[in-house]
Amino acid sequence: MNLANCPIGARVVVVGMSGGAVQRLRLTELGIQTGDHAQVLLSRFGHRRIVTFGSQRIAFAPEIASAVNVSVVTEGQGTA
Amino acid sequence: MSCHDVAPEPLAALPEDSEPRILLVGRPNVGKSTLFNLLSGARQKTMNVPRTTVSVEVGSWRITPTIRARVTDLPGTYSLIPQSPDEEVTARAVNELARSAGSYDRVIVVLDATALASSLYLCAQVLQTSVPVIAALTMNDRTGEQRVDPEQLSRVIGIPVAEVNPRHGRGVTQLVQTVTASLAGQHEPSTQAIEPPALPEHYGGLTTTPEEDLERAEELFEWVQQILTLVQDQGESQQTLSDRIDTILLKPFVGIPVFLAVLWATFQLTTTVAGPIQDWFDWLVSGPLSDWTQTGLGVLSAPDWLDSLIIDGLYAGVGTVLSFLPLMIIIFTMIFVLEDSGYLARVAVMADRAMQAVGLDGRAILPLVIGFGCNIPALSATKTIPDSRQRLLTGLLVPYSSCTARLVIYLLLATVFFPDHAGTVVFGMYLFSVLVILGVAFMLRRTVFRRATREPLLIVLPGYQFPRFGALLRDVMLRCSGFVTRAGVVILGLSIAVWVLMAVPVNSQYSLGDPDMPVQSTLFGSASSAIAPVFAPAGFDDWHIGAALITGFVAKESVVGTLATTYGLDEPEDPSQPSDLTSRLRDTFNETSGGHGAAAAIGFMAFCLVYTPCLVTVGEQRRLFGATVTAASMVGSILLAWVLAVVIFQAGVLLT
Repeated sequence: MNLANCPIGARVVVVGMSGGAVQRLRLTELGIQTGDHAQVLLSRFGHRRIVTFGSQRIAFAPEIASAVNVSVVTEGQGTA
Repeated sequence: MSCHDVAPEPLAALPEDSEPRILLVGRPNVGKSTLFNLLSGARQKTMNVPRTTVSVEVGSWRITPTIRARVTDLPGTYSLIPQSPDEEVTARAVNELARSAGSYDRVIVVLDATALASSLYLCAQVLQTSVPVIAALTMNDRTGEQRVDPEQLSRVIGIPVAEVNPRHGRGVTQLVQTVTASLAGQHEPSTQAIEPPALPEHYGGLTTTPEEDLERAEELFEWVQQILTLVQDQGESQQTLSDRIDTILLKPFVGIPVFLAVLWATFQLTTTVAGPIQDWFDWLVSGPLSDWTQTGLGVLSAPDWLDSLIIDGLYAGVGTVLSFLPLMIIIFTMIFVLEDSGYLARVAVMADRAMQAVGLDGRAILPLVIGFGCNIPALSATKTIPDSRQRLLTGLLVPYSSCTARLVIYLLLATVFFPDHAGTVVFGMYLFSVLVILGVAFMLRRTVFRRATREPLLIVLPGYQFPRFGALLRDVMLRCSGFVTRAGVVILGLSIAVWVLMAVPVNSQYSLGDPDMPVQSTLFGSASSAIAPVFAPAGFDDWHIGAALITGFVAKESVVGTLATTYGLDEPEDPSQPSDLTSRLRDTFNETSGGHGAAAAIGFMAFCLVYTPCLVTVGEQRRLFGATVTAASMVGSILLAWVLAVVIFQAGVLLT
């Protein structure tokens, strides 16, 4: 599962990043790290997704969102 | 102030000839430019970085009555490992300062307390260059329970930290104290400081690969995490007011109408509201001011040419600049409000998909639409696009947006040649304008901009906030003063050049600036006759039309007036009603086109749409993108206009 296809509103945790090193570098530089918690707020205008990372709100094109692999966090159980 | 409880001794002065160089570095949207405006005030200028399309703001900061620093506001960046020309300029400037830093040179890294991790990452990269760093902590008022203690932050990262709030104009005194203490060498190293990992010796050379960069970034983020645990409570993310606004405002059936309403309001303000103010300035300069001057010059027995130079050259130029000032105030205010409120970043998201088709940033939609009202504010609005290549590309496309000044030309010619379908023809011209924009974008993307890849959308959205009046006032004043001083000089120069054409006689019968001289006897008349044959393949090789095209370069509003003047007629009150001018134009176009007047007229309208919109556009392009780009844009648009006019006319001849 990745940020492009995870359910909207679900709390997720970043489990890794795919894609080229340049793209992974930029995602890292924005502060996105493995283990970070996130939540997709919206998916609109051709699947552009707005995701919360802590106090940051980041807008992703679908091709970038699909490079951030995530896992859904279930209540009180960690990741699923 | 957070320099480890050291009360700074006042720094009286620096040694002679030592002007500290200070670079402002930070992520986009951290308030860096607002801080720069606050520090340097009006003492700033825009400088183009050689061999790039990037410009930086350089200003003078009066730190104390005796110490002035040269401050450079560098383009916002997430990293010193550049991925765009803008980021490269910032990285290069920091590295060059690190290599050549004198005792008083500093980098001020602006840290965003709401995105402290990535801000600290950038700060760590700057620290790795060994240049002396001071941190300015912004947005701390927006962190709620995750507020950062600047003194604690200073202790753990080992550099002076001053909390500032440039939007509210607060914290400058603290920053001044921090900087003067640093310049005086009064910053004591903290025993609790955790230094970022040093760069490997070979790193930064030509052999650096993205994988290595990524490895270094991950190392730095380990350091960042250490710092964060010491300075900021990493609580659970809560839904904010901005999130709630976004869930409503970014619904397509709400977001698109709101966006269209914003565009409509901008369009209305730049046309309907600014129009009467522009007319008033026009009246003031060409009426009372010119009359008083003429009376004064009459008393002094000044020669006719001087009278003409001042009234028709100097005042025409000054009047043009002044008349555009209200328009610029309105557009700069709108731009500031849209940017500062955080709304513009949402526009980038909403329009991203549509603009992707032409390889443009989502934010390009704003200037391109404003251009249909007036190209000047539209060019200014390109400033909202963060990537310099995207900014330049949009700036080259804006002149093809059919502004309202061209409408009068369409109305006149459509009425003459297509009286029953004038509305359709005018609508067709607007459609043609969109096609030209798409076509030119396509051509540029495949030629000079072929290397400027459009990165997929990945932006940090700032929280919504109310624009601050003080910051707005400062920003608008600075931008207006930039327009008047930089674009104004070009406009004035071109106005005087046009006056020379109009005032210089081509035979000895008349003297310089003779008010009774007919147009044909001026240099302007000769130039009009000289350029007319160029338009023979387009079917409108006539000196009246050539004259109209020359004044159309100054302002498209002048085209109809010039046609009337050269025919010795009064300008029609309503260009869509039959008049002597319409019959003269019908005859001229039919004559020059061999009976294909309608095809020639469409070609002429296309030419008017595509070639240089007006001299104020030239001035504004020159201010924003430099002389070379402006010259290339002008020549390119004239050539394209000619080619399109010829193709349209020849196709029309074949089809009729």
